Amino acid sequence: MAFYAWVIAEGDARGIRDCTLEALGEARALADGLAGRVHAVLVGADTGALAEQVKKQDVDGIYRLEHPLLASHVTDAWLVALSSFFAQQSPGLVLISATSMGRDLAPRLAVRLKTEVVTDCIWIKPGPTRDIRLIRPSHNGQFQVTFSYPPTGWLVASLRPGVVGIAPPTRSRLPQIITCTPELFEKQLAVKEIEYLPGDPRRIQLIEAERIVAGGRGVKDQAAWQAIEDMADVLSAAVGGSRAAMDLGYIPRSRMIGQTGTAVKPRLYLAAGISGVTHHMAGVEAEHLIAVNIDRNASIFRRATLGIVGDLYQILPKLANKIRALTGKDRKASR
Amino acid sequence: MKLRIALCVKAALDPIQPLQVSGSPLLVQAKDPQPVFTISPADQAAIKAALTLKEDWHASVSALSLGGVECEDILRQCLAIGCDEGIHLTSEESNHFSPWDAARCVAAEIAKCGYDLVLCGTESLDDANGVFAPILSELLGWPLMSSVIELAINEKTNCLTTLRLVEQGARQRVACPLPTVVSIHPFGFSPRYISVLRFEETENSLIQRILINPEPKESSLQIIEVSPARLRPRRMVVPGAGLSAAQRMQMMMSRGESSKPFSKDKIFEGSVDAAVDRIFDYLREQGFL
Repeated sequence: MAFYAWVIAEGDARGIRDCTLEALGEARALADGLAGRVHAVLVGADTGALAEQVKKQDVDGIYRLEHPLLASHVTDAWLVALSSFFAQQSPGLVLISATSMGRDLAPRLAVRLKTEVVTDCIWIKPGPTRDIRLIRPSHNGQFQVTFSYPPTGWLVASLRPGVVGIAPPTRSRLPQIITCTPELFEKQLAVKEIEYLPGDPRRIQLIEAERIVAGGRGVKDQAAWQAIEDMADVLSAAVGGSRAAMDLGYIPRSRMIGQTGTAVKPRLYLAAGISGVTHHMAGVEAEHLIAVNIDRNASIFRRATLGIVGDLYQILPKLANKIRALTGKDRKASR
Repeated sequence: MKLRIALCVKAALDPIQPLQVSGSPLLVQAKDPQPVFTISPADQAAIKAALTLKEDWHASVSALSLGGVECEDILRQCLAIGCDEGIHLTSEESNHFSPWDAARCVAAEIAKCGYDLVLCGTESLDDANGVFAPILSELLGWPLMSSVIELAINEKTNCLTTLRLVEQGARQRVACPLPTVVSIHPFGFSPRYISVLRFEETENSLIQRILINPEPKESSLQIIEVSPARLRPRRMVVPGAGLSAAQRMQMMMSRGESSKPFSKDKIFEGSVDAAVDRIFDYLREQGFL
């Protein structure tokens, strides 16, 4: 019997989320080991743009579950649509990222499919006896538990985002795209979304921030710190800093990044005037790290994906103006 | 009518103490013969949420805990903080329950007693599966609101309105009719501390003990190994052919961050305008603008 991996894809206006790309890569590796197939399942009101993106990945098929009630990110609607969809499909591993949606959806879907669930996995791979091996951390990350499951029935698993990493697809299989309209009625949905409040980068916790602009000892005074805050405003980023920035009084302790502060994992980390000592960098795991520093020997350049040797007082205001001209964004004016 | 709240609290093995893997089935246990159990931060937040509702809406709060004798101490702490009663669900055979079995036992008790609202933490400190509340909601057939950081009840409509934590700092305000299951995120509610006096007062309080005989759910999912945590290598683009064997190894060991000091294409030195253009182009290329 062929093995199937069903990946529930998540995306937004900006496209497919990175965590979904990780899940697709993990499912592909597993399916290759078990001579199986990978299908992506897109859920939403209109998933056309997302399907085009997923098409470039290494998947065998794409299912688009589309319904106006699936526009809001309420788990109930997704649950009803997905459970009725999977009831008609060949059993296999249902994989979803352990996002706020995935953490809700995975256990509930498992109950409806009358099967087991393993959450927050960090590794899913084929076992030596053609079983599925799922590894998840436990006890505050001190231990890891390895589960084994025969690839015959349904199994639901969620994958911890940011652990697996994204590898470029090795090949494109020109997957078939099938659009389905699930039977979904308003009365089936007990939980109603009243409003969706996008995160205010200035107020959200650093641990949640997708973009961070941070300053350090290289920022000489409070007036100069304004350049960091302006930059954060135009990039819709959170403001953080090194211990030096906290000691100089630019940021409260809650905004300090590093080994003794907050460990952050943003997509973009713009470090201005930060030398990049180990204590600071121990708390930074950024996908894109742009460093601006006047000292070309600063150790932060070793970790930077783009390093700029220059004066932050001259570069940041000009950059902010240029971005503002492009996006017309002046968050301060709008507040 | 008085609102009845069931508060599910787990006696979690404190991960700060020395732990070891032993037994069959494989379990993480404390090395010390007298292990320390604690209330997880998410459960502490759930206690605070329940007590907030109790004060604002004159609700009654029943704390439920499933497991061995360690639960009695946890329940006493709940009573000392302000819960009205403690219910200890225990079995004479084994007191280690899978999340499925735990949810089934608690669901049976909740269905029997007719509660209006079930509160629990998003995940425990030990296993941190985070599946108890979703499975419980499915077994009860009640709606689920997860990762809640604020909650309020509309008495007229008998509706619960909550603010949920979602990704990247966003929040979602949702509403649903009671009865419902709510999992509380520790971000929203700071724990309430117990006064020594109150703890002494409740030391001899009676805790209702209910014997259960759960039939373990048959499962093909087997735990085959519990081991100390190991990092898994991240997937990444293969190191370039221009690197030496040592640099390739270093790049892989550092999860893709080469220690090669100053790669020319990564470091830019030039005029201010050229530097601004370089960052601007990079941000556009990577989809940040």
